[in-house]
Amino acid sequence: MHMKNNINIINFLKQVQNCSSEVLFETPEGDRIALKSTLSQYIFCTIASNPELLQSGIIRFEKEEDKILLADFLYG
Amino acid sequence: MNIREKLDFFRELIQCSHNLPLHSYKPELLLTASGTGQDTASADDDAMFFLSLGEPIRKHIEKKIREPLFIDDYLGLIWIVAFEYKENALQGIHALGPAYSGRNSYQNIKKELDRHNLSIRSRIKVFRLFDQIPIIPTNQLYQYAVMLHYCVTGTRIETKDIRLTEKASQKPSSSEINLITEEHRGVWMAEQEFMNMLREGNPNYIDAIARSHSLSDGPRFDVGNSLRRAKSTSIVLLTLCSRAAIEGGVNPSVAYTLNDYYMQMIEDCQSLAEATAACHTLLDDYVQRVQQVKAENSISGQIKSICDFISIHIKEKLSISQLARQAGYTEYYFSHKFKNEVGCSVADYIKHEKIQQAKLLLSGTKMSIQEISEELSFGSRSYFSSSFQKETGLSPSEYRERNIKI
Repeated sequence: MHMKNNINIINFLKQVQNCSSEVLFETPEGDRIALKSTLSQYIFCTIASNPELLQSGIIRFEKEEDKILLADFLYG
Repeated sequence: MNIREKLDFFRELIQCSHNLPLHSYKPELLLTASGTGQDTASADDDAMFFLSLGEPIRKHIEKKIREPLFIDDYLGLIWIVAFEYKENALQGIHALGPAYSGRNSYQNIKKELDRHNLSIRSRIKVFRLFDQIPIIPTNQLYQYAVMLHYCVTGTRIETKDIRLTEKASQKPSSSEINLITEEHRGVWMAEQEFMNMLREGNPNYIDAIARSHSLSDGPRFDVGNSLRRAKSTSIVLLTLCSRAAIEGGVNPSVAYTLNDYYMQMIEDCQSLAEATAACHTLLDDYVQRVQQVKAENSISGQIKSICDFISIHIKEKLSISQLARQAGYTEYYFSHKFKNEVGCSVADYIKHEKIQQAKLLLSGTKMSIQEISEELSFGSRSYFSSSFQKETGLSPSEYRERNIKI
């Protein structure tokens, strides 16, 4: 799944914390960032400051049921 | 000046010394003014702040505490947060940061980032973010907190009024304390025996250490890393030694300077063996200095003061006339009195002290021999080298080869 345009990144990351399992952000360059750890969140926010990089990334879930929690922020 | 003007001025003053942003937020944590001074209302602009600070700030506000909050996260990043109230209503939140409190925090983050195997593009962006964060000593950050609070409230506070985040100020529960007490029986007596020996300069302190080791292997805390634990335990020992040495008569400036030197030596250790060796070295050093002070008790107060003065100003060019004036004597009288009491001439004493300092610099720093010679005001490298060789039997470079600790 991909990130929608113009979402609130902080609210997105707060919602990630409510997921029962890990949520991963993968970039076309091969970065794999686990969004639950604080340092990874800093990395994600730095990458997210570039909308093009953010849009080209993919969100993956360890558990399918977590998709519902982040549905407002994602598409695809 | 209104609060906004004071904050803008404070921000500019801080920027003169450090790249330390000051952000202002509405009570609902919406950004109103960024560190660059431009207005913006987007919460995304300051993600780092919200990720680390949102929760502690909310708790601080709920408790209606008005003093500034000192927040450090697990990465070693620090923020100072001040709260603007109008009567009982929160008007704004002002955050100074992030900053590293020391080089270690910065290095730790870089190590953590390296583990993420980021692509080059992401790596450049992320490292640039963390490279821009300044390193500011904690005591200076506390001073900034006092100033920030004054800008926002108009009231003066002291650094002791600054609040820490809940976890840092948490005390153990009573059941945890009882458990710890049971496990440390007898350690206090052994420590006191050891400290007394240090105060006396008693060379049998090694036996006292062995006795306390049989009762406890040091402070009980888990860092998941035996070297880090050894270093922390060594630093506790160093602190006890330096204070005991002061009580034994060693000049506090000398004791604290040695404390700083050995603390760096301990932190630079790469193995348990090195940390152990560092402990032995510092113990020997402090005990010998206490012994020296005890032996000097036959020396008059004025000459002792001159010896302390020489210690503190060891890097400067010292003359007999200057020291005689300091002591309040004529040069002739001072020179004779000094030799009678100390056992050597003033010039020889100064040279000896400078050589001792040179030994520390040779073994503990990467300064060149020329730089050390200039640092200690020897006049020339050749004079320094010949003086050093005469006193120690080794050239400065030979001494460094045999004793380098870094």
